[in-house]
Amino acid sequence: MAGRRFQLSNGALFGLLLCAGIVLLALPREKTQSVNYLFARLFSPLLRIGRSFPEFRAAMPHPDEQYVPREEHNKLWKNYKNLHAQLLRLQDDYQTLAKVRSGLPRFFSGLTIAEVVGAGGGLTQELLISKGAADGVRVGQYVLSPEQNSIVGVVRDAAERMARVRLLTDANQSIEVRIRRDGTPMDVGALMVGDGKRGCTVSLVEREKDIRVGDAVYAAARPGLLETPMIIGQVAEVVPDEDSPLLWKITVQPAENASTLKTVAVIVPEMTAPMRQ
Amino acid sequence: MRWIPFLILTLVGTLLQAGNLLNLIALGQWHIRPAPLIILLVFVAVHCRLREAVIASFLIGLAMDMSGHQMGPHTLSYCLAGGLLCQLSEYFPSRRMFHQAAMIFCVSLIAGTLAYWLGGLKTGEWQEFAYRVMFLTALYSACVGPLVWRFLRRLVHLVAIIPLSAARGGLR
Repeated sequence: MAGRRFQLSNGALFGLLLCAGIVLLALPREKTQSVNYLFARLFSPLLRIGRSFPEFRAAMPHPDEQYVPREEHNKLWKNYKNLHAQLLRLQDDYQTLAKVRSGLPRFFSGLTIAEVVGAGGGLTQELLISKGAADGVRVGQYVLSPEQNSIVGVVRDAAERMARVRLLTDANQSIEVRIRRDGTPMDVGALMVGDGKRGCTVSLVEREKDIRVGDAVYAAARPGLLETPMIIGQVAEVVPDEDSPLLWKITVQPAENASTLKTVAVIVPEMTAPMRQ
Repeated sequence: MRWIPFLILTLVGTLLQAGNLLNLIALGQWHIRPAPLIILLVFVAVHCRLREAVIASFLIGLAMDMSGHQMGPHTLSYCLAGGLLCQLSEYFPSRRMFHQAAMIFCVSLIAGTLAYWLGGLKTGEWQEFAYRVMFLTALYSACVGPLVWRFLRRLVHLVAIIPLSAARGGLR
């Protein structure tokens, strides 16, 4: 007697596939992200083709009299701001720890250079990079521009060989910042959130604080991750918050256009660096 | 339907969707790009029998999820959209470019919004300007879709898609 072939009806097949989709949706992200990383790793040479986005306006304001090329100016501006932050930190150390021997403060303990494989996909502003947990990359670590002179994002999750970096301009990325102005003791702490486009927003700053366009915005120091504040960008707009008139709504223009990066540097604390290094 | 050529076609669409090549034609500050997988989904749903359309929609959604950052939202929304579109396709003409563009626009908007909601429910993360980006992506895909549609029609024999008109005995 011939066996009967089991055949699903169209409706049953549709229901079965919907159930499979629901199961996939219900699975925790930690269990399924390996599939995404596997795809990115397998096809990374093809995904990298055409990496450069169309050019947009430069992040930094155009100098009135240009003595050097804009790129050079931007690089010098960022390096100057970081040196200024280091100097302030050194002065604080000298004043408060003059009797105690202390080592020269460093920006960070270690770096891992990674290639940008591609964008994270979807509506998010993320980058996929070619280094992962095996190289000491962990969630929460800061990611720098190729010149290692400005912060562009934070590691969002890390697989063995790849990691996902959420850019500062992503709407779900928040970072503690310090707003400072050269030649003044002003140092305002605040929380900065990406606006989902090309900039960031700082809110909940009282209008009593004298914040002006052009003030430098630094990522606040975090023990173990960032020893000295590092430049993120500068204040582009300061207006009263429409929802809370007693507060400022500050727009920050990042110093780096992260969408064009081909390499990044991840700050890897020494305790998480891979043993072979 | 020949599934191997279809899977290769889906893979090409996935690489275009996830890769940087389409950045060459990206527009605006949000880098709006056309969505090749949506165009493929609509084409397959309109031209295939229900069984093949549902399986193909599921696979396209799965490919979309694999190239993204979370599994599940697009698999579910594309499977739903593809299945429903196939059921309703006999009521929608698809010969003219305008009709093709309209279908691509609607499916892109509905499937994209559903996937965004499901992704938001899963991760709790919601994006600024998400609806604007989805609308513009749907619009761009609708503009480019008819051109891709002509290309896909030439591949119908390669993938052995039996047109619905033949499957239904020439009723359309």
